[in-house]
Amino acid sequence: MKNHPSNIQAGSAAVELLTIIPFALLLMAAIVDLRAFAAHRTDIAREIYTVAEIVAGAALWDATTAPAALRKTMLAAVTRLSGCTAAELRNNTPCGHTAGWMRVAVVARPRHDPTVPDDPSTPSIDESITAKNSAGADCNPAPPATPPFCEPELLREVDFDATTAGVQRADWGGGAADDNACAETNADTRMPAQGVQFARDAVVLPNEDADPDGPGPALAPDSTAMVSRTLNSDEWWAVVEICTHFGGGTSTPGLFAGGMAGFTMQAFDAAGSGAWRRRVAWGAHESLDDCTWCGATAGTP
Amino acid sequence: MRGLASFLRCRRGGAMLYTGAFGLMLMAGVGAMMTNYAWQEAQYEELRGALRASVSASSRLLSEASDAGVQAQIRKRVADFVRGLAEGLEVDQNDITITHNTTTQETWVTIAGSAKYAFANLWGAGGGGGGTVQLPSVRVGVALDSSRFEIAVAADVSSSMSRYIGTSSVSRMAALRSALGVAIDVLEDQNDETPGSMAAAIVPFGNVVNVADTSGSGQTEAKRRYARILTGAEVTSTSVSAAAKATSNHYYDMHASYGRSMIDMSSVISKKLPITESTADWNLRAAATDVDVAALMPGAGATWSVEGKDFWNGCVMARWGAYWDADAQPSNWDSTNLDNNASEYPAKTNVAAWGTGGTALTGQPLHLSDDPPSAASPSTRFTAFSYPDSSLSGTADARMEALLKETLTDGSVVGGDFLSDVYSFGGFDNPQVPPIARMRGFNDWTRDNFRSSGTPGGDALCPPSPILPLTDDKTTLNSYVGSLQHIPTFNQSGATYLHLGITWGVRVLSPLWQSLWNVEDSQSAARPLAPCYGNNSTNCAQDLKKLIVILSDGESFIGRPMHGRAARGYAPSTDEDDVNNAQLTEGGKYALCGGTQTGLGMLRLGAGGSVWKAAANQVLDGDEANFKSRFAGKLDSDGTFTIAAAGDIADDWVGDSSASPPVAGIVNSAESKANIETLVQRLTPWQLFVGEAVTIASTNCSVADALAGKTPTGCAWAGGTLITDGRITQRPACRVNIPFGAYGNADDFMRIDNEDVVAGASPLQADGSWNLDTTRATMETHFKGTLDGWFDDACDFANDRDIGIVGVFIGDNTSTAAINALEACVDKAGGTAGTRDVHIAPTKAALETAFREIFTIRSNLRFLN
Repeated sequence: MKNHPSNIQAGSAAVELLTIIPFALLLMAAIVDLRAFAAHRTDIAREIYTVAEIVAGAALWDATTAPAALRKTMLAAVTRLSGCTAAELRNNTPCGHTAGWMRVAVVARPRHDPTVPDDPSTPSIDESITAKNSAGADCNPAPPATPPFCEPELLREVDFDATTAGVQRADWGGGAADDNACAETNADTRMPAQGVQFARDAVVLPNEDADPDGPGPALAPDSTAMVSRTLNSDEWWAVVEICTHFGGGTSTPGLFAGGMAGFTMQAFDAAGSGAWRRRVAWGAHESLDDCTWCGATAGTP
Repeated sequence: MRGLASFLRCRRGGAMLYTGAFGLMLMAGVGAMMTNYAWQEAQYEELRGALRASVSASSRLLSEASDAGVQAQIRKRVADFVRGLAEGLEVDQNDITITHNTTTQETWVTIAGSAKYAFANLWGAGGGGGGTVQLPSVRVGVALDSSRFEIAVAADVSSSMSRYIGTSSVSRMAALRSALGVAIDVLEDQNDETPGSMAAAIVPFGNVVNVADTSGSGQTEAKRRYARILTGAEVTSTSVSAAAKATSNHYYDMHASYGRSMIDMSSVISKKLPITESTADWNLRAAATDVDVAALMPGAGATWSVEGKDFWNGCVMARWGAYWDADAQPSNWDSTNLDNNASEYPAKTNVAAWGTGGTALTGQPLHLSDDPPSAASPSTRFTAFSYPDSSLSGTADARMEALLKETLTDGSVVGGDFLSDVYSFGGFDNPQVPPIARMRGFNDWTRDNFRSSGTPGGDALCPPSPILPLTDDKTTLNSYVGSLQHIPTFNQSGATYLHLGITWGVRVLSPLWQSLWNVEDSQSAARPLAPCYGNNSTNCAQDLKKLIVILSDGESFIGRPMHGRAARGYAPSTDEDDVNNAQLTEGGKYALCGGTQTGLGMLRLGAGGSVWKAAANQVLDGDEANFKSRFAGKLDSDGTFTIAAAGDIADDWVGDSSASPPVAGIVNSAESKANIETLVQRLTPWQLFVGEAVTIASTNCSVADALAGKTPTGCAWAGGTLITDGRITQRPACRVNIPFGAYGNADDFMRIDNEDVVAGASPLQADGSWNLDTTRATMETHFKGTLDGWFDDACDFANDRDIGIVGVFIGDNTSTAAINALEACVDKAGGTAGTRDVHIAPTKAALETAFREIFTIRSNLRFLN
């Protein structure tokens, strides 16, 4: 058989090239898509730390503007991360890259006795009195041989688009009850509700239960092993937590929308849940006494 | 091309496959490196955020970071916090070093040493530096900044502040004093921590502002401050500049009622504040100060003894321009632009910048600007707010008013129906006492309808508490707040000009006014300070912020319209059918009397006042013919009064001292009744009551003099005319006061100089469409529009000066109009549009909380890298 350019057959360079090209394109797509995903993670880190800094800083300190300005800040961050418009977020309509939520909370240590200002230089632990949380109830029951101890309490939780009293979570890409990895039913590491203390072994900082001296079992939650347990009574942190769901048919940031990107993401999701959850905290430099909104009662700001 | 063709013809595919496979592996490898690198970048971003957050977690310790013990605490907090945030980070306290610059208050936190971070790769292979790596040195610099604040609390002290706050039994004024006390405690704490970090001023306002305490004898700094504001010239404890002596443009308020009457009051209205080095001249509020009215107003026939506190309580008029003082008329005065549109103010000014690098402001409304008073620039100076009482038994105006009524109520001249109407209107229930005896002078503020016993007269409208300039002294502030009072309660009061609070708030914060206020803080720094702009750092204050706290319990309000005259002995009530009532009430009928010449004279008509109303309308309409017809039977064929009618008028005019009880006369005149009869016989009703000028024959000059209350001058005093500007009669008869404020009465004449008047050109103009049926609500709404416009412009001006505005409303959130008015102002100066910025204080506790929050300085954590 004569070899002729118009007579393509197996083994020819052209055939081999055409055979390789799809794989090459697929590989390039995956690389670019992963690169976009990594950039998305970078954006998440930047945005949530920024939100935390703003919340804890002076920018939102005015008593009456703080809740509104905070919601505005959160909305801007979520809009950027989700790819949704503000209207879509407000209406809770499916949109953008992912499903997920963002929550901003104020965490502090309850005083022993709300009626008596205690010494801000000492941790909220006192063996001589029965510890009370901010609502006046007893703090988490102390295990035997452990002094009365007030676990950190979530004083305030803010929804970036709260229009209904009592709405406490900011969801996008579907309602809270939607079947995705960030749906409330799957939020296994969710912070406590507003006005409720953290459980004794629950972390405030995402890794604070790690053994500071090296690998090993989580330390018992006493007054010194976890940094969140050493909060002084006039200290507070702005805690921002975000969960973004990928997979399940929703698109993710990247060059290609849809299933392939989702498949790519899930392939590298170590937890296998199809969700990224990040929590950060930022220490406020102002006293809790001066926080005009972080200790407010339940409900929308 | 030949090479490509050869490649494609090549049938040795095995080589190609190897090449392709190698290419794919190469791409995968590079891609893995790229993605790993990107993945690590994402982790670096988180690490950077965690490091900054960990520094923030110890930020409250940073201000003391020079202390070794505090540094240890910071190291522990940073190490614990950053480990808690960043998974895979190994950092020990010993890896962290702290350096602190006590001068710049900058702190650098460096993480180095053995700190490691376990990077996670997307791919197990592919490079990118995955795995645990030793961290390079990471530095985070921070500074804990705290701004300095100058805060002016502009507090509405109108009489409504005497009411209870919420459902409590605590007055709003008491709640304000308590809240200010809380703020002072916060201020003291701030200054204990950082001396000089906060200074506060307090600006009480109603419809006028008191700039200094002028009580007592001799010089005080407050009085010198007052004199400086009036003259714009140097007045120190040891000397009074020649400019001050020459330009002490301090006038009585002789506007309207007396200033342009047939009595020449020019020498009174140009009376100046006697500013000299003499101690005696500084007794500005001397009790029973005599004004030589007998000389100035010989026809008035009485010494004008002005009661204590009637003089110069410290309030000043708004700086509208040429309102009272011809000398103050700026060169760019435009009397055609008198509305509340900022682009059309009649007097504008260019205002200097605040310090180096600041912005000069051009074309600003003179009366809202912080252009400081200057002796060289008359339009920038202020005029005293002074409303002396005229506690006379009857002024010329009152007498003429009564004459009109007496004439019209003569049943023999007009019909019985008319008589009953007018009697009903006048409420003259004691026939033995002529109506004139119950009439009151326009300026008679001493009576029960304006004040309770023992309180001042007209000047009671001036806030009792003067402005407190900036101070950081707790004792001074507490002493002041302890004596802070609202304006005395009148049925007619309640006037509130919100823009005055903002305007004077700007002025107490303006460094352009520094030498006028002449105050220093505890650090011996002259206040107000000039903020630094741009890169400037000399002769200015870094991180200085200025704030006005505008507090009110309502919207701007012109004040309660009332009769200029009330029957003596009748207290005001809210019964609109009470024709003796000095207070106009909603639903009543009011009239403008006399158009441009008379301004806003308003006549309240009771239900039975139809005839009077008709007569007043004829005056308004210039309907002389029909007005004349009401005097049928009393006029000769030429339209002048008959001898009999003139005799009746003269009877009222002169009175009858022999009657029992004596019947008071209309004028204090030694002229015989016969002479007056002779004069009146030559006048038509229109000339006499409405005010048409009439030439007086030389033979009647003495009578005319007597009528006009002038020293006989052979008719030379008024160019031979008896009635000069049409206000001899009906104007005071119809006139109704709207409480006198910083812009005068509504629709006062605009005084261009001591002779000429621009009628209807006052800052608060009446609406020409008003008539007898115009309601009080309509009038109040009209004036509120003007005041609201000024308020908007004042807030704009504050924003131009980079002064923030915080609103505090005393009341609950149902008062949306008042809250929205404050909100609009706040939004103009730093507030957030669409959000509720105003503090709403329905209770004393809420008010205290609001002030605590406002006065608490928030520090700012600033990252340096």
